[in-house]
Amino acid sequence: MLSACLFSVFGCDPGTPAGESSGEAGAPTSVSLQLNWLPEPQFGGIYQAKLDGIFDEEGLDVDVVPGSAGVSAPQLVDNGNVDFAIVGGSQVLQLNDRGGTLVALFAVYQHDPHGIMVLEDAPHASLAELWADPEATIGCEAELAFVRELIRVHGTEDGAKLVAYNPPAFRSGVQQASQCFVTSEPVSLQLEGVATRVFMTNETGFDPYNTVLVTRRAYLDANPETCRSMVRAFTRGWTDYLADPAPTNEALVGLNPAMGLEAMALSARAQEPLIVDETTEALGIGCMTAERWKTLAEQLAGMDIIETVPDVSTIFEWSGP
Amino acid sequence: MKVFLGRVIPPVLVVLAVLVAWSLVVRLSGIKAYLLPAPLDVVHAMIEEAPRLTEATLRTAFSTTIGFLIAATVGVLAGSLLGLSRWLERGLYPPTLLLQMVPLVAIAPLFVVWFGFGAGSTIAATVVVALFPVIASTLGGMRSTDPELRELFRLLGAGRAVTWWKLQLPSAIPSIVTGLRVAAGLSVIGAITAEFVSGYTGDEAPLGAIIMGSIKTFRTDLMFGAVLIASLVGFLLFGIVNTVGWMLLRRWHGSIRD
Repeated sequence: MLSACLFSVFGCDPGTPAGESSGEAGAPTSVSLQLNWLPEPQFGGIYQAKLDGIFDEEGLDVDVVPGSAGVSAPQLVDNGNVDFAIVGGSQVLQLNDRGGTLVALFAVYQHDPHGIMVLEDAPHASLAELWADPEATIGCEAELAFVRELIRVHGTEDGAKLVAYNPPAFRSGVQQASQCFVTSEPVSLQLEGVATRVFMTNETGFDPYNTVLVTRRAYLDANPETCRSMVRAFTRGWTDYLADPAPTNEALVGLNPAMGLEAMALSARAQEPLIVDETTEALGIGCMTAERWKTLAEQLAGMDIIETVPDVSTIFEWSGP
Repeated sequence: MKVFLGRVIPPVLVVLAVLVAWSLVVRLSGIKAYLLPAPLDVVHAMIEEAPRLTEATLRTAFSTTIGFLIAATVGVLAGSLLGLSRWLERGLYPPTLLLQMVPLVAIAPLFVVWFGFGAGSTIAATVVVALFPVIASTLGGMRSTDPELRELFRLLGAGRAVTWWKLQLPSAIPSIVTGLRVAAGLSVIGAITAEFVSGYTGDEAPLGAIIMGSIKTFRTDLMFGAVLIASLVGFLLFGIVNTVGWMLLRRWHGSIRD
């Protein structure tokens, strides 16, 4: 009784799928997909699948829920409020280390899109040089895994000051550097006439998957075919989007007018090398390997971000498109 | 002693009851720790992170206190000024209302541009949030001065400054203390909100940055701990205001004597 009351407050029973199939033969299975940010090219393949009827062809009726700064997609899917979500690779391991049961199904970004950006004419030639500059301030979320890795590699003493992530402060010059998504902030600034350089943080060797499709273990176990359909739809949607992002970008502008068509096009172009590489050509778009997950888990454990390195076979499922 | 215990025991019992109920809810329901940690988990996180939390608390308490003191001083002076002239009140009071309406979360990122990172921005945000209740309460107190006493001061030839100092300001103290109580709580909210976007992070993080970082990394136990400490900072400030108010009013004001 108490459990029932609490679940009504905190969400659904994690063991109970939020989006059951309609029960009618041939009727599409209704599922919800929580994004972790606003509609933009980072989710281009998802909207392509939606707009082109790919989800329908896979027997899915997908409710794509845009995210925002305040939406915590990992908790929502793990708690059963939604069936699927898009999250960061590190978040999968971090939440599971705290009792979550997330399972990664499809990794859109094979390489982490996070970077530290500086103005084009900044005196720093490398991330190490920037980090060592005591006059510099770097806007970042210091608890995030990729920043923790940078702190581990470059230290924090006698060097740049780490301050809160605050785009207007970088834009005004109060801050000399800022964390960014290479597909987002640098693109917006470029269109404002502000040229930037980005030091990719994955160059340090810390390179988690990003924009990862996840569900919770109980949902996957109860609905394996729905999850397979979702992965197939993602594969087709992303393949089509990468071939020609323009039509979907036009639709995305309607959903996120603050980001114009030109920004969408630039962003789509910038993300392509993060999505397609030699591994995806061999294993398929969205693929994941146990080796990559294990490396990430060990790196997070080495930074005390997670307590134990899990059996990585429990945190991702990849059987090809 | 009996009176003291009579005042202390009820809130302590309520807090204990809440903690026991909270523990039972977590234990019986199986809610995951990242959604709702047990009270003991929160305490454990606070002990584990004690050095960082201690330094963060000092930073936040400093910004909160300085911001509150500026808001209190400026608020009493501005409220008094408005109270001395109907013309000034009509002209300036509506714009000061904007301070109350301004969505701090929206403008906080700009404070960094104006005041720089760290305490400067946090203090400025605290002043913006805490100022209006002090102005409003001071003005209200000034306006409620006994008209017969004011007339007496006028007949005795007292000037504006003397009337303000000897009559209106003392009359307004109960109202000002009420405004300061409200401002004390708001000061912490202003400081924490500003620290989300204007504080140093990493080794120099104030409480706001720790709260934000804990949310991002599913450290709900640490987040609860930091929020608890922030509340205690506000509680302490509230207690100081209450004590000062009591000292100022105890000899002559009915609300204290009774």
